Amino acid sequence: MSRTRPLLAPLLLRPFREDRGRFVLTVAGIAVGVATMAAILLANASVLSSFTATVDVVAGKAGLTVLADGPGIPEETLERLAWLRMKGVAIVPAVSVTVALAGGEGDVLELLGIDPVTDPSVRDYRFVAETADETSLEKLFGVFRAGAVLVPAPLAERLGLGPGAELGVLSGGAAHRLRVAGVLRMEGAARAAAGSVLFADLATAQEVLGREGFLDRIDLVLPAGLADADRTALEASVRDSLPPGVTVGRPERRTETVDRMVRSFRVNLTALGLVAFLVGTYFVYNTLSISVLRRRSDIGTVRALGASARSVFLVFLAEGAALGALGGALGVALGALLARVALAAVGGTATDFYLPQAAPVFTLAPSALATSFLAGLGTSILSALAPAVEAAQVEPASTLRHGSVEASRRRAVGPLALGGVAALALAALATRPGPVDGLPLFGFASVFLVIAGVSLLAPLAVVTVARLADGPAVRLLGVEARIARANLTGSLSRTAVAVAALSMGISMMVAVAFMVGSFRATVVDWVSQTLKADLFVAPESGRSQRALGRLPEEAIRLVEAVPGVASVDPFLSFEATRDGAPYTIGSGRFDLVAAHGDLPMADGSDTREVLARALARGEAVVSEPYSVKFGVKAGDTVTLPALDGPVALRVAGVYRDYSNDRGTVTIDRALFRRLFRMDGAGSLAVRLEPGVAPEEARRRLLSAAEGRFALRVQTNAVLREAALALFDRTFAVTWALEAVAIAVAVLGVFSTLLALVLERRREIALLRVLGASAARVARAVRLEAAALSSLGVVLGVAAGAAMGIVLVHVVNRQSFGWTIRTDVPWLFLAGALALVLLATLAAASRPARLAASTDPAAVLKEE
Amino acid sequence: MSPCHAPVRVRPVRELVASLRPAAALAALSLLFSFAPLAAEGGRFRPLDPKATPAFPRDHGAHDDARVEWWYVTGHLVDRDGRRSGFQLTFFRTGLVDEPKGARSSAFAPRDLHLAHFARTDVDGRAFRYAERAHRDGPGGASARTTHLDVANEDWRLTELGGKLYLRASDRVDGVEETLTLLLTPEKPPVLHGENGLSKKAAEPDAVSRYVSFTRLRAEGWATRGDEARSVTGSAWMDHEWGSGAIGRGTRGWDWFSVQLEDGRDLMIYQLRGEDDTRTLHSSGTLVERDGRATPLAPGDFSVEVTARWTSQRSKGTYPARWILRVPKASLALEIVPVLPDQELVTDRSTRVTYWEGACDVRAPGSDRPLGRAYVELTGYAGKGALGLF
Amino acid sequence: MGARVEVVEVRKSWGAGGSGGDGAVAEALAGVSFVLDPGEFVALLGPSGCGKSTLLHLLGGLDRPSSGRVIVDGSDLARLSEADRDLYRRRTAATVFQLFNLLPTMTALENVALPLLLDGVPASEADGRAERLLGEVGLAAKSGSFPWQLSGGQMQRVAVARALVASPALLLADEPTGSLDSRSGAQVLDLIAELASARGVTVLLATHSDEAARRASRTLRLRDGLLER
Repeated sequence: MSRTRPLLAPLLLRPFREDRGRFVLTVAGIAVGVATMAAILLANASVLSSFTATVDVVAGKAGLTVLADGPGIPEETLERLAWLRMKGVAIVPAVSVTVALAGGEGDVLELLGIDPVTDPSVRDYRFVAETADETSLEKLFGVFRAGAVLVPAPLAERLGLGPGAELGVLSGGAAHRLRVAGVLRMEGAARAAAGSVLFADLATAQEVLGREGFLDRIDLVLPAGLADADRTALEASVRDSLPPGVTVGRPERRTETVDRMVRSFRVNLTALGLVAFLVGTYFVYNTLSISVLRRRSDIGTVRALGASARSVFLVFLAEGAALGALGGALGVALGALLARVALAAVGGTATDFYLPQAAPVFTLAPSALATSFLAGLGTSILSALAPAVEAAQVEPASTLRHGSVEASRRRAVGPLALGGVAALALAALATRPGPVDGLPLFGFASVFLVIAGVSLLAPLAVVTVARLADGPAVRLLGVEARIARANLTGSLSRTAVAVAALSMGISMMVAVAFMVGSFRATVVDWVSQTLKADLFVAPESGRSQRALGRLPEEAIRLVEAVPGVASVDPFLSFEATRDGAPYTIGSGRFDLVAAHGDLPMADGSDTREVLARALARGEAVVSEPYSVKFGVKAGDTVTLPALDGPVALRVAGVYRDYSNDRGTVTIDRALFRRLFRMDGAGSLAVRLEPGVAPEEARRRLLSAAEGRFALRVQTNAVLREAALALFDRTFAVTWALEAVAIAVAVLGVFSTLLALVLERRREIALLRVLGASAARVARAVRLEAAALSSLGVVLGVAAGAAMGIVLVHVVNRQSFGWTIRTDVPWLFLAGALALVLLATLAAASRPARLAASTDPAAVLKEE
Repeated sequence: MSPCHAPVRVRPVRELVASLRPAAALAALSLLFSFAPLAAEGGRFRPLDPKATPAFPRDHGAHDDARVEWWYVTGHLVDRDGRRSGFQLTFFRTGLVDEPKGARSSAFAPRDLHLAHFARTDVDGRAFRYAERAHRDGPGGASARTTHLDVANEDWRLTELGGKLYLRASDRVDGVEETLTLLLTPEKPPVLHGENGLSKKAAEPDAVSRYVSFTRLRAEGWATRGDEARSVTGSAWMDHEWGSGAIGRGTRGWDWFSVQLEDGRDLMIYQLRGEDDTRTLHSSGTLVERDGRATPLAPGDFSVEVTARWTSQRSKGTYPARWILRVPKASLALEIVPVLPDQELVTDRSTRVTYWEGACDVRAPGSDRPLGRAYVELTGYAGKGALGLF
Repeated sequence: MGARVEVVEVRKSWGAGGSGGDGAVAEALAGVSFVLDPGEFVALLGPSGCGKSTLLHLLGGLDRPSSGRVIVDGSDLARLSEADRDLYRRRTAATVFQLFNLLPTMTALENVALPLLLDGVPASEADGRAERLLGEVGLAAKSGSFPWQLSGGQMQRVAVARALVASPALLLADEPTGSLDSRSGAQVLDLIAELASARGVTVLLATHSDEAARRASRTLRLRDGLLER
């Protein structure tokens, strides 16, 4: 590098100072790609690390944790585990549920019910203002009082709570008054859920949550120095003593499960984010190519002065690295900001959907930062390779005949196109295999192969279109068309790359529009088919979208008794796992569903018939995601972890469900109550007698519940709206990403044109000598831009449609198990594409002006 | 009697619980005396009815209306090879919540705190070990039945079976489980100390507890260590005491003796020491005849002479370490000699409750002639707070 | 018909506000006057840097003199509007350079047809005329070739064809053989002489080769911005 250093200033730094605009643009291009990636990774890392931190904090010193794989851990499990104590194991039970704060903004908090006697052997509790006179344990014993809770200091401060203060929480449709027994320092257990946590006595928690008889976790503290093999053996013995529906595992396992849950979400986002990256990569390539072009004579000079080709190569590689580092650093900062905003805005999505816990806290995960920064740096250096090679090939003190370089590239058009066809064929093949470990890896491969294939076909497309369009275009648009056409094919290495980049961006937009549009149409359809009841009742849950806790039986009876109510279908469910993958076991009144038929079956069979049969024979129905995920069809059997031992049920049918991608097994309420001895309901679907206005019924219902239950009662219209709003919120990120990709692609067209104009100064001068006016030269550039963007749009739309099909029918189905009917938002797409065309044309104006201002005499004099 | 025989509230509770660790039952021990019941709705705890006569087997069980209660078994065992040992197993119960039963729906509804303590003295191995348990009510933790004697804390248990007592306790020593399982057969009927079982602890009228003992139980059973089991036989003593009053105000500590004589008589004596550690505030005793007849002993009926002292290297506390007990009206002169000097329970790091509880030989003063066996409990001699708080 | 060119006291200097240079005034032409009669073939001789190219650029309507006048067929080029100058370049003056005459992205035929298309001649006619001219320079077979597929001599022949395709009145050739071997150079010079005289085009051939100058009917010698008498 020592020989390279003297070259840096003349070849790189000074030109950049002179060309600040392009420098800034390039850095911004890289920064956008890096920022997108960093934002996605950071948002994910934050969600996961918040959860992991909570898992770690809650698991504390536990070596093994017993968790429910069903409605809950029956209390008697503690007795079954008593033998463990003889092995020196401490057994620490806990109840853990999410509640909403009554009043205020309805913040969501975790409520952990602990046994103050045994709990400190797992978790640490430290109180603020702890003196020698008043110690942790004495204060901890304060939670024995019914309704007493401990509050972490930051939360107490935020809510203005001191010892003795009262706070209300909502769970299971009831408001509970709790009293602050102590304020915890933000250490140890208080760090769970980032401090959005309350600690109460086991009994208080069970009563607040209506969870009498059940625990949510039993932490086992193993004797110090237990060998790993012994731990494994112990784990196996514990497993043997557990009742059905209860599992044991190392606390890490829970993190893995959650990781699995958010993985689909993350992988999908990351795949989309990669597009922004590809476009950023193109940016670097382009900028460096321009650098090489502009400094061709400088390079020739320094070569003549004795600089080696290797030094020149390294200089340009260093330029790529410098741009990458700068853009990467900027991008990481920008990404952190984006992630923070996104978490605040849509972070609730992932949390609401996947994690039963309070909102995640933004964490600056070093690995996410490093990954995106290095990705930016790496791709920048990679993108710099080709221009650097080009620079190294500049002969000392010579002006290379550009045409011959292009000639060799044009010879590659055929092989490239063949490669493109092969990639497309592979893309088609890749739609065949199933998911890998639950992830639609082949589907994503297919999407990227489509991108690769179309990119490889771009040169052929440019050449072919140029040849076919030349005659008519010249007749129609004049000689400028020929000039533009000649430039397009003449600088194929640049134009084809620009077309490819633009088509990449457009294809992603089209694909996403295709996917989201189809998905949305499907969901709208499904919502209208399933949300048929007049009112929906759930426990008031503050800010949380989910129903927190269960409505007690009395609440159901109260709703049933409201005048005008015709029927009430209570939905009750819990989470279980099958082969380590989480799913939901749900229940409803099959007689009502059979009567109303508001559960569309995946195969189009008659819901009434299927449900009536299932009810009569005690069979289950499973949701489509469950069916796809576990390969279960109608006629197969599913085994449910009933309290008295596993129960195998025949599957009567598969129904559509877009509300839960984990999959659901649904059985009749009576059967559910018998198998799992659970009461109450997470939510109620209420049908009214004919002629009763929903708003009026809602009022009646709320006034009936007044003072007894805190209910969230939504009319059909409101719930539908909320469902679609949630849907749109979920995909807001996706759109933002695509907008970025498009913007970067359009900028790419701009910079390509700029590059071409700079590169062809001599040719433009020649045209002027031949009598072409400045205006015509500019027009040629605009035509070129139009051709580039049209080609990009056409290729992009074609690729996008293909990718959309793959996304909808392969990726989506494999990751979520949803069948989605194709529904393309044509109007939106047409508008977006017109916008892209306009944007590229607008972007062409500066290069066009630059071309027009070329002074032929000055250029000729340069010789 | 036990460390809890003189529950006092001289110093604030907080000192008792200072840096209390849940694993240490002794921590909770102090709570036993001091923990102010949480809910004051009231109605649960009642003063003892002096006129009520204990009825068995019901009154061997727990008394929900008593704030504090304990069952206390000590004994001397010998195995087939003649190896001698002593043991102590105590179950404590203290009410956490002063509200009637059934007011809450959770099975974990806090009601009592259950503490237990298991100590063993290996006379020949000259080793002393102890273990602790602490639990609240609820499945898989601890329980005390009110119908008959059946108290449990984890796998430790003391229960009545057909007029006999079943006792089981365990401990892990160096990763190896040790258990003691005994069948205790009463050789005398239960003894009611004091007047109708009412044992006065101080001048205050409410400073009383109900105090019932099996002074002589024939013990047979197994002591195991890992896979090795040794059958053991011997004799044991059980105390059961309960009450709700604030007892032992102004007391620094106490000395308590339970003596089983080879002639078939049993003797219980306790002395409560005042703050200045010299004056005896209150003392009492019971002499149980061979046939089970019990005679209360007034302070003037007996004397306790300390003939040696021992200083603990750990707690720096100096305890009496040898005594001569005299009960002139029963023609008794007994020299009490600890089988091991160090039977001190130091929980300085966790509970600051430090006391001495140990197996002793009983001899004729000035000779080696064995007269019987005894267990002695000494509190208030060491520790900063702890029993030093008395 | 060839053009009549009148150059009157033309000066051209750069610097001090001019394009390029470092502020110092450099005089390329220091008062040059001469006349080219219609159909005349005149050689402009002189060493490199003597101002030959500058003079040709002024005659080609690419640049304006600092002072003096360039009058072609009666009109002063300096007074033409931008549009008229574009028109002048399309219709009146054609230029053949030493290097880089052709657009590398167009075929030989397209290069030749370009001036016609720029002048609004319909594509079919333009292609036909270009084809014919390529035939005249002996490159009919190469009409579909790109510049990089041609030899240096062939490229210059295409350049000559393109220069003449729009039937200009004035042909300016700036060292057209400067980078050719002598045989190809001779061929190109023959072609220029032959086609120009056949069409009566006025030719100004800038060169530093006496060999080339011999084909001219008259020779002007330029040294340090002045014509040698």
